[in-house]
Amino acid sequence: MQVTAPTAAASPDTKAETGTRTWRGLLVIATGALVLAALMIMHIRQGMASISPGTIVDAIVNPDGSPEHQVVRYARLPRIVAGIVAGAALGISGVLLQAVTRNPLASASTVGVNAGAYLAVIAASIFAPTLLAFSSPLVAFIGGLIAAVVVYSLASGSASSPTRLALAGMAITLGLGSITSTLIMFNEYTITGLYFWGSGSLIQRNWMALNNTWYWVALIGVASTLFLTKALDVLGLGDDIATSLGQNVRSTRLIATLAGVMLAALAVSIAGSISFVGLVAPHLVRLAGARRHRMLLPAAALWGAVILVGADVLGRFVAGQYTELPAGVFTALVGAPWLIWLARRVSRSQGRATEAQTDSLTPLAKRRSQWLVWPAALALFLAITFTGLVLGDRDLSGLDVIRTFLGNAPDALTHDAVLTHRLPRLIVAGLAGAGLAVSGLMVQGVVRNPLAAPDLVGISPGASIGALVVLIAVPSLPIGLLPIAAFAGASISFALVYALSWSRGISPTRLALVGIGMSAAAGAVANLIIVNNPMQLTTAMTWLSGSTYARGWGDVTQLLPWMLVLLPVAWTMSRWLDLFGLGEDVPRSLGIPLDRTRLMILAVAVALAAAAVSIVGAIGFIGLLAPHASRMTLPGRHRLLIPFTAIIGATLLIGADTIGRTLMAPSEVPSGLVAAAQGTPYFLWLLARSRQIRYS
Amino acid sequence: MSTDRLRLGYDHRLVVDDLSIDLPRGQITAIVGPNGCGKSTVLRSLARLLKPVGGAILLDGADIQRSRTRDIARRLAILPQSPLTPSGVTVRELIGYGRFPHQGLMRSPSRDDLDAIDWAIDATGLDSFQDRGVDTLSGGERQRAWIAMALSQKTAVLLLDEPTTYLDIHYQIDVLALVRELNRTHGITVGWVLHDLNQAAAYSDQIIMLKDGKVVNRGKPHTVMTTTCIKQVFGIDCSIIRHPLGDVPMCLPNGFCPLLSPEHRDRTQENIAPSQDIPLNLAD
Repeated sequence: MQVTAPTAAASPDTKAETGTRTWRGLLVIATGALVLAALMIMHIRQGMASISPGTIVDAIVNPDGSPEHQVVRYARLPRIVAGIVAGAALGISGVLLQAVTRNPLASASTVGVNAGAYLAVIAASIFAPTLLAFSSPLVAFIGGLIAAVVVYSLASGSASSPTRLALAGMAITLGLGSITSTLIMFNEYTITGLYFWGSGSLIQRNWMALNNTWYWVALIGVASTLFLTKALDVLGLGDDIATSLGQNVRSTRLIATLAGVMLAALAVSIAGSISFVGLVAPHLVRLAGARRHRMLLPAAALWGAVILVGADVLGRFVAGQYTELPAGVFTALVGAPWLIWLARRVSRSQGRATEAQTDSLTPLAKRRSQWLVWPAALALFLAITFTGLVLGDRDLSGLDVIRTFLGNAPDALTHDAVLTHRLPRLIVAGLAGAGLAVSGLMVQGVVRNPLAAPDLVGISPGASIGALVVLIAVPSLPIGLLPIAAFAGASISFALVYALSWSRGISPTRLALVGIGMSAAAGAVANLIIVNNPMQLTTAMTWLSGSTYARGWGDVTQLLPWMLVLLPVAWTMSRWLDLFGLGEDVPRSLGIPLDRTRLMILAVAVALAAAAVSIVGAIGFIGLLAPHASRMTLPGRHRLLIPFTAIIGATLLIGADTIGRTLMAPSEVPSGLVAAAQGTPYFLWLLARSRQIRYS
Repeated sequence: MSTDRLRLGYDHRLVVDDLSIDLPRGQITAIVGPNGCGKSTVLRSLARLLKPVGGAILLDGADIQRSRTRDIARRLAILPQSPLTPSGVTVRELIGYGRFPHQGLMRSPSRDDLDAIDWAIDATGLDSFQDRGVDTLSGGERQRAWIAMALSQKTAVLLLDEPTTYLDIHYQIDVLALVRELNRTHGITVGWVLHDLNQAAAYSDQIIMLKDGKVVNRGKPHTVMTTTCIKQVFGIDCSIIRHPLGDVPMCLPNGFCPLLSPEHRDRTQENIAPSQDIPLNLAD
């Protein structure tokens, strides 16, 4: 049951506002066209050879085969067109996917397209280079499509719902991403250039990629605008109303998703995985006043192109004449400030509409058998911890481990292996896993969006910058500073997100949008540091994926106090979190000061995640999916949910550490990657079990 | 419209088993019953928002599960309990969505569409609101806008799920009277779920009382609004009186008089008891 309270104050200028709506939509499109034209002119004049405007026009209209004309025709023009086509495709695809999932945080990355395409290209470059040479756009396209189809079929079945689609997409994205990162790390020399591709780049060597794709983008884009806009508007009224109006909700959703996925895959095949455009372009035009899809689709296409071409102009300008920087890095830097600025203008009442509409997934455990879940989880936790002590570069016997603990180790080597190497690592992994999972649970509870995670409020990206500064940018700094720098980075970026979303209070929507912007911008800066220092790619990747490698008692003593204080504090907040789940009015009516409480919860969540990240690196999976896994296993009040989530998070990371150490011993796979790779199937299994969906 | 041995359920729980009811053409039928009796479930299934486990739902003699959803949308509209309010959509635009089943994919609104929208605005008295944003309206106005959207669908059957919830008494009467007016002047067949027995009795031609997914009683308001029926379905003691101004049965729960001592209450009931089921002029 959902109480639709009447909006308190109707703004007096609503009438005038709606009257000019169409004009405003057209204005958005007209401005977009002008900006795009200006950017194109700037873009085509950039480059190593300075070419006069007259020559450029000549080259297009009346080519004579001179070197200048060749440069314009086969290097510069394709690059601009690639930016326009890919940007437009991503913009439209973002609108479609956000409408289908009814989630403002959705984009092509959410349904796994980018992750699938990236993995396909990386895998092909390692295992089947000839295939890649044959047609890399095709490989990317197929990889993206397969991933999206898997996501869609996992999410649909008897009861497809927006939440399921988004969750399945996130799980697949993280799972595939972990495989990709592992491949990159173990094949550093084969694929340095492909990391570049992974950040997205508009460089075109000829018209080939475009010749095979542009008409598809145009076709799907135009068809969507012509045939889907009305259906998408109606879908926005909710499944019931849409059905009542004679819409086949399932097929509409299928067609729109398919169109969105195709467009995103086409964009990937042209320009690599460019992540930010599809997310931000729809928001830009929506915040600028376009509401109905008839206006949204073309406007988002145009502004998607503006962002991408603009990013490329900026990238080439920053990089100077002789180097290249991936445009994908700059899309975030160009789009993020814009998004933040617009998000700040979102009023409280408007904000509510962008909140994700969640439906609850039926839990795995029936109420009656819930008490069984606890001993099962604890037993699993202990078993995995024990396995972690037994296995490693040198497998011990269980008996030896027990004897070591009792104080009579069979030999000094075993004593060392168990007590100085493995035990502290496992403790660090357990503490960090618990911290990240609980942090994710809290952030999701406050922001009320299933796609929220500690990263959303800027934690991991901020910590990454801090860590990369120590690792790469200023190598003279002692490595011991790394945790401190990471913690400081996380705190600063959270403080920025919070301050920027503050305007007479905090709305979760504004927080989420600003958070997306900040995270993307910080991620771009981190990427920029990496791309500029290709020699340290592996070091950086290891830290960015999260690793428990060589963690010892020193790390335990750094991490333990935080967790000992913060986890109980988080637990005392469980009552608040329960109430926040009921919307804003209930906690307010019960006398909870909303903004202060929210800040306190977030601060604790940030401290938990930042402490964990500063020690083990930016592990993404646990904060996002462990809370869902625990909610699906054991739904209910946070009093029980918080400890349970902590156990799940700890078990996941301890298991990941163990597998990471043994899988390719003596080499190690970063535990963050293993966590994603092993957690994804578990999560998908849970999702499949909760087939039926309860609509409240 | 009718159901034939309908079975409905969520997950593995059967809510309704073997239900056959009938919404007579051109009449207003109310479905009432205690919470969780399956009345909303039945209404949702009538509007093909919920797929039956077994049995059939017939609209003009044809099974709606076998008909195209767009064809049904031209003949049947439903207003669900709490639809999402889209932001930044004007009242007129919202009402325009009701024309969806009548429009092609790309054709611009036809004369018929505009006429239907104007008619719906007119019928619901939303003239002065049509350019306001739906999210700026009060609860009653918003409910009228949603009803207008369903009206612009121009269907012969209109289903409403608790249309008066969250409204004050003024808007409640407003909405109820509007629906009856539409029924009387345009012959629209109405099926609604109502919580208030008196409203159901006053504004419906037929009442179906459900309990645990089964029909306990059905018929004209006079015949089902009896103390025994209400005791059986809702488990409360009540008195049935006649509206002072006309021939409408009203249910007054005896619990409304908590100050009466138990003995006194019994005595009162005895006094009323002999006449309680026949207080009305049953001429029909």
